[in-house]
Amino acid sequence: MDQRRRYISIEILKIDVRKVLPYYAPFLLLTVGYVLFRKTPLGSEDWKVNLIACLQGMVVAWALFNDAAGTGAFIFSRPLSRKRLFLIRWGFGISLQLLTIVAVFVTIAIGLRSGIQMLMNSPYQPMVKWYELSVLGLIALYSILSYQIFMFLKLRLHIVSARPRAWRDLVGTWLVTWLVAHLCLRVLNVPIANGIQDYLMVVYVALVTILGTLASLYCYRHLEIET
Amino acid sequence: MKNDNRAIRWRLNGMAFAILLPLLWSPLQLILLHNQMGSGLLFNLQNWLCLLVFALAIILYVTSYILVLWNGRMLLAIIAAIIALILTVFSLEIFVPNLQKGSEAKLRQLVIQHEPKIEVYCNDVYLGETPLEISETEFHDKVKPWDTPPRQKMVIGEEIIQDIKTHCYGLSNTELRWFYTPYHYFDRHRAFDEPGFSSYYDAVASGYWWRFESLGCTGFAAIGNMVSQTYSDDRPFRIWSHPHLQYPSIQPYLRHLLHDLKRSDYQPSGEWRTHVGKSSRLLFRHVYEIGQRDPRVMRALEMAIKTEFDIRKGMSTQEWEAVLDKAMLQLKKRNAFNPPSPEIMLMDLIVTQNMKLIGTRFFEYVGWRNSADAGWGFAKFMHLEYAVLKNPPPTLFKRLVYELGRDDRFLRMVGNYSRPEALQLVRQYLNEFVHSNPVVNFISPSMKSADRWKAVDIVTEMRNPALEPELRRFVLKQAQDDPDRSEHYLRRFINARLERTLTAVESDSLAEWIAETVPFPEFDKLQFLTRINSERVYRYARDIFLRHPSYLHNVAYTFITYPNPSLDLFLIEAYQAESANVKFGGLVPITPPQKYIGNPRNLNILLRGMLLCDTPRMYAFLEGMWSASYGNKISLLEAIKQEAPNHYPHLHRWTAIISQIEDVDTRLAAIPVFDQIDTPESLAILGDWALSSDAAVKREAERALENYRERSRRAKELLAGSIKPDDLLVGQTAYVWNGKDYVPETTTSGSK
Repeated sequence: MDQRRRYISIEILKIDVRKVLPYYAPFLLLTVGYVLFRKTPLGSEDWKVNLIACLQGMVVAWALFNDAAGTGAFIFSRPLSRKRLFLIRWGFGISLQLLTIVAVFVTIAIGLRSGIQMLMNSPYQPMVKWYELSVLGLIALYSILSYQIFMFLKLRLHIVSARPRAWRDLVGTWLVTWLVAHLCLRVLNVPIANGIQDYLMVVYVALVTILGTLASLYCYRHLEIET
Repeated sequence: MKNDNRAIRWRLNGMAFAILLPLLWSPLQLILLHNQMGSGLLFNLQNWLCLLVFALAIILYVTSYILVLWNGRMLLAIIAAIIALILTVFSLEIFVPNLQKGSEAKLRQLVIQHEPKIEVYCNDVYLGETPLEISETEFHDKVKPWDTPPRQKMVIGEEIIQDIKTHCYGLSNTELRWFYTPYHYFDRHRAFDEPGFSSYYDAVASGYWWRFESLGCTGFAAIGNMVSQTYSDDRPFRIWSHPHLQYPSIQPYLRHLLHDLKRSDYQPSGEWRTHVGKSSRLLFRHVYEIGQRDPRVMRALEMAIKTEFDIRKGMSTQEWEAVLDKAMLQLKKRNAFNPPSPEIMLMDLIVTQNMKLIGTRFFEYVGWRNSADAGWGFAKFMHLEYAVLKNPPPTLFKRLVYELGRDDRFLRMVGNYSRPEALQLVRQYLNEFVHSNPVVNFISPSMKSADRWKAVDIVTEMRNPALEPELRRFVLKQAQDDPDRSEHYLRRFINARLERTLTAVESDSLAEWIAETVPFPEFDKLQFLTRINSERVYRYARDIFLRHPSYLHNVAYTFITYPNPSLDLFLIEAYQAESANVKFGGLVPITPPQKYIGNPRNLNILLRGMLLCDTPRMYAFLEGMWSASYGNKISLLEAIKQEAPNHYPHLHRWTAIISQIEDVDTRLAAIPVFDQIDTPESLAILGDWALSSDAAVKREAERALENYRERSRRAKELLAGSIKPDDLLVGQTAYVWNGKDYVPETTTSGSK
């Protein structure tokens, strides 16, 4: 039975990969491309890369939890618990966010960025190579935060809204996610004594991740599936 | 499909609110930020408007989420979110500064700011130390006006008054002779020229007499400087005062301290070191100035600062860190970057002893985005910046380059490294600036102008000889492109270089650049050139003087302020021309309108400049002059007497020459010189002359010896703390108010 469950889990994962990859891949390429070709040193205050990360988190959550009517019915009729189904998808989404972080880390750490920048006559390289890794922190915070909030809001919309796929609901969810993720991190990032804002941001994102995951799981359990 | 289960909906909304938790952080954060700025928001919450707007923004944010989460009211949610965003921006950007100013208080407050720890007295009531903040009510509770102006002492010493005059242009010198200054801050706070407030005598009627004291030295204040600024939008209304104090006892105080130092052959006693270290906030600048001329004094000062900061040999890293922390704490209180200062000297010491510490502490203190204290302009950061600028730590290079990517101002530090990468970075910056987008420049000339100001500022502070030619070209180009600030850019750039210790090659190059490239009038060039110790300066200066002989009169004093050995030959030629009453460089007789040339004052100034040139050629010339005539001897003695208090060590060699004088008149003229030179050698000669058969010489020498002994005694008392520096002021005549003016006490009675 366990083997069968594992098989089904992998199959669902394959479905998710096929579903999400067309949306995720452009963002991954965009992020890596930006990291490779940005002329001045990368830093945590770079709003462009943070925006890309924010959008990536939302797009992944949207693609992952947006099943077509037939697909949804098929997946939910498999002999897997809702919790397991949710954890497979949630874990996959989180893994994609981490994949971006790893890709950016590798791009910087193996010297790919430095090499390309030196070919482009950037005077900052390779001195700043290791300091540029500071960009990873906020990419992670933004992408995970937006992923978690969007996931929760989207699943919640399925429960509370009569027409969860109406364009205005969708736009609203996107907008709210962006506002929450961006403004919260902006507000939290205002410097205060002894640099505690860095810890505050991490604590906040951890809190949202836990709460958002629990809340999303709750929503997932109460979803009504269209057949 | 709509789910009507209320319980589920409430639960979901509860979860949504939990996620919105950090929004509550915003007002809390404002409070924290404000509290860090000093005055405490909790006491100034009356600015309801700001808080209401901010609260409204928060409510709107929450509402927008509720609308989305509740039932998909998207349009309303979007409108609410946008309004909230606008309100947040407004409340943060516009209202926060108002918030910081606090509420409209009914009471006015007086804030006296100066160097810290200056004791403030009004009508002899001690109000506290600077920075002093006192409300009008508290002030009137503590201080009652005096009906009669107080009995005052006037400092008469001409030397002191002269010193005050030279430092206080445009001030009424009469005001600066008194220990008490009359002023009514709460009555006269608006402006000195307000109707009904016109003079010292008007202020006398106020009945409030202020006195400022620091380390036993009374600071004289001028009424015109009692109020520095007031801001009509200050809430509560604050009267800011920054009285520019002059300390008349500083000069005698210094003289006695240096007298003690000389007596101990420049090996300062523990008592001396402790005393000078403790008084460094008052004395440092003066002692440092002398130390620049006399390395022995500088060494003693360094020892005093080491004593003050408890620096010993073989200190561990932790001990150095403790020393730096102590200095940072002091700087936080003082909040001023005003070199030279004890902290700057400490930085120099740390740079030589423990450079690694500066490297690690620089970013720790600056803190960047990790601290609300972070930023430029804070004194403690500026001191660390100074240390990094002066001696760039190798370990810091990569981090500085990284920070340069975010902030151009790091370029001045990066540019000081001699590494090729640093040179490339600076070159790229200069190139990008020069070839910046012309369309953007056209659209926003003010932005370009501000950027140019910043760029010139950065370039001016760089100290990299390898980049110097490019920096000069850059500054010249910017000066050409911005005619309004052209002179300012160039002057700043040149002055920054003149203030540094230049090598011979650098001096030659700078002199050549100023003389041949800088588009300044010749007179301005001359003022800079005379400060450069370079062989080339002689030729340039001579050429200019040949074209404009009258310039000699205008720049003569520069030779005293900035003694320049490379101009010794020029000074000799100029002196010869002056004394022969001919124009410099030729035998053209002087016509009556040019009588300023060749006058005794000019000759005296030139002679003093010559005395300060410590070169064999000049010494030989002056020796020849000395032996040539009696008149020359008297002129030289007068010049030495004037310059001896300035502590040029090479002047002491004149002691041997002067000691050979035989005739009475010259000896009488020489005795005050020995009194000023004030060394054990001069004391020995005075001792010999005190045994002279000539009564006048004997009497004057004995008097000088008595002065010497008196100085020694008072210096000891001063170091022991049994007398205050103010007690050293001579000629303090008591004055009393006769209803119209202060008059000497002997002429009237009825003093307070």
